[in-house]
Amino acid sequence: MKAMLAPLILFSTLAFGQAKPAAEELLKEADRARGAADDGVAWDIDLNTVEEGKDSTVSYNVKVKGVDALAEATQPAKNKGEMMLFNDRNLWFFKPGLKKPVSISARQKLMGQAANGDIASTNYFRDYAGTVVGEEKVDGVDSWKLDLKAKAKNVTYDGIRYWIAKDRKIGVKAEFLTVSGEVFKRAVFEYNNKMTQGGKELPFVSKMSITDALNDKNKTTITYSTPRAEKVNDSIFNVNNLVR
Amino acid sequence: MSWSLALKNLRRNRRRNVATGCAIALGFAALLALGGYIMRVENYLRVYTIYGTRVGHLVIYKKNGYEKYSIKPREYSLGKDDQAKIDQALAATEGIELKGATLLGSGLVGNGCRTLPFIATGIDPQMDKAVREHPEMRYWATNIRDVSKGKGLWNYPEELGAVALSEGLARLLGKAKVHDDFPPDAKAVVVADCLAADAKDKIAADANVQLVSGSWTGMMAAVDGEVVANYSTGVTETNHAALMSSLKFLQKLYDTENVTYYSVWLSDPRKLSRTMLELGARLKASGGDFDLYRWDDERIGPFYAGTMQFLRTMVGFITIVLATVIIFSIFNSATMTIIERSQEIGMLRSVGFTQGYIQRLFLREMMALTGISVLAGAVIAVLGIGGINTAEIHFQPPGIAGGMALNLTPNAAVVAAAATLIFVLAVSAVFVALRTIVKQKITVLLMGSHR
Repeated sequence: MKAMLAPLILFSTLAFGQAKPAAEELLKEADRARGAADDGVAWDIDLNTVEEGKDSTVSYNVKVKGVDALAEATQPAKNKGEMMLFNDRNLWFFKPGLKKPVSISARQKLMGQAANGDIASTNYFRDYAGTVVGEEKVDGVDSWKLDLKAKAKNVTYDGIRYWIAKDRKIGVKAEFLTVSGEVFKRAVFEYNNKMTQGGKELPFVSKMSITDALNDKNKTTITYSTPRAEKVNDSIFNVNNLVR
Repeated sequence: MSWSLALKNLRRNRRRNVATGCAIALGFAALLALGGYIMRVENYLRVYTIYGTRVGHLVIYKKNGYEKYSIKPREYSLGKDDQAKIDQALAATEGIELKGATLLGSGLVGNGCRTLPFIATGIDPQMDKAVREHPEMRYWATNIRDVSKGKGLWNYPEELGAVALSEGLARLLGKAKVHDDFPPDAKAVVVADCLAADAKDKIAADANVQLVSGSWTGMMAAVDGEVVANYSTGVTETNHAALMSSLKFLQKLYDTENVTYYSVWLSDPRKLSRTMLELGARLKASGGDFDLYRWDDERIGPFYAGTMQFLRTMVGFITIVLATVIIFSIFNSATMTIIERSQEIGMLRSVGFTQGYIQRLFLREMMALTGISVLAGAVIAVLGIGGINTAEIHFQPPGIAGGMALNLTPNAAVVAAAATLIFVLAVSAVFVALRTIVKQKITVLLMGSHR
């Protein structure tokens, strides 16, 4: 029976293109290249914004383990020590001198086009229900096109159109959607970093460029550097430890 | 002679005249009560707009700032140079009672466990004190004059980061107590587990809140605030999101020296138009780009403009209904009286009285009846309105937070307008009723054959 079906499957694959993969698997793979990891990983980012001709940059050190992440501002001096703590989908903001951390939304604008959730909320597989809706070339790269719908209200976006490269299984382009399905931001990703996980060298995101859908002069670039596997103590993700 | 004759004639059909007089008196009393209600609401909304929202009689914005400030606050707010020019223009303008800058902003306020959106007003605490203690606030808007809990911002040092929360926002944040309810050395309580059974008590165990927002320089910013007071904004739609702080405190949060607008209060509001012209000319001469608005501009006081438009339409309709009832009552009574006395009219004309004299006689009769009825109506109104005001009835007009006391406050203008309306209606009704009868031939009138 199997022997009879095999040519049929081969024929249909050749006739209608590559068979659609499961969206969940694609998202898991793509998330890994953007920092989603069960073990501790860390990297540095420079968040550069050009808005109405004004240029500004803030740097963060990001540590991620499982569903938790901590982003701590390192530059400029004025913002040094400001922290954003992601406990699963809950997000807290803290800066030195505050008596208590503040619960904030991942959707809130952090700087320029970047939302709070953009800097460390890397887990699209966990936060969105995905469907493969087609295949397209993005800058010459054959990619799967996915429609992602938010699984909860407290995730960064209501919906995302996401393109994942067929060969490397990395997200190459995204369109972020409003609740009514309108595109309000676009992002392209570059993967010039590498990180070793589980003995394997994997591609790691090096740049995420986010552009305002209405005014492409308003642009925020997140540059990722020194991604590394790092032993991360769980206690740094405890919100009560932020004030100590 | 004709006035005493008119008064004597009123006694001839007492029952009918008493019924007509009652209709006039009650109609007049109803008009006074209605006018009193409108006066009360109008004055409340006027004082709420000018003093309660701190916009003043005149507001100075950066050019196009009113429309665009919320989108581009840095560009459409008043910078240091603008503020200096405005101060200079105001110093040279006569009749300024109070002035002050305001910064508006929004963001999230947190209690350590949850955050809620806020709309903040940053003002000079001393200006806030002066506005709250203004006689207009004391007389018309007692519900928003004083803070409902705690003490005003001006009682605390700047470094405390004093904030006053609107009543609804304080309730939603679980901040039942204010700074003065705790010992001076009380520390902020960090809630370790926001889902724990005692989290609510721990949240309420201090007066500390955090304000977080995007600063004007582009980054997210946060400051600690100490809740020193709760207050009513006076309006339902803002009473669960409004927050007040010192101007400096809010400037620190948004990392700016700018302000949203300047408010100007006049010592004599009757000179509003003149002062506006004078100040406008001075601001133009200063070389700055400003927009100047009156408080009753519907963009500045939309609640006042919208509510008053609605109330005036409603009251106009009720007044028309009342006027119709009164005019038909008088017309009916006058017509019956004139028809009954047509032979008397014929006799008066036969002995030489002119049509004009007879018309005046009947008009005087009706004016005497109206005068007496208006006096009676005034007594009814005084007793009724006094009773309502003494009963301290609390009612809930649309959009007013916490409702307001039903105080009917008719003034001399309302009384004069209502009395004039009643007299005009009465005279018109008699004139129409008489017009055809007095022109009949004397023989027809004497024979009563026109009936």
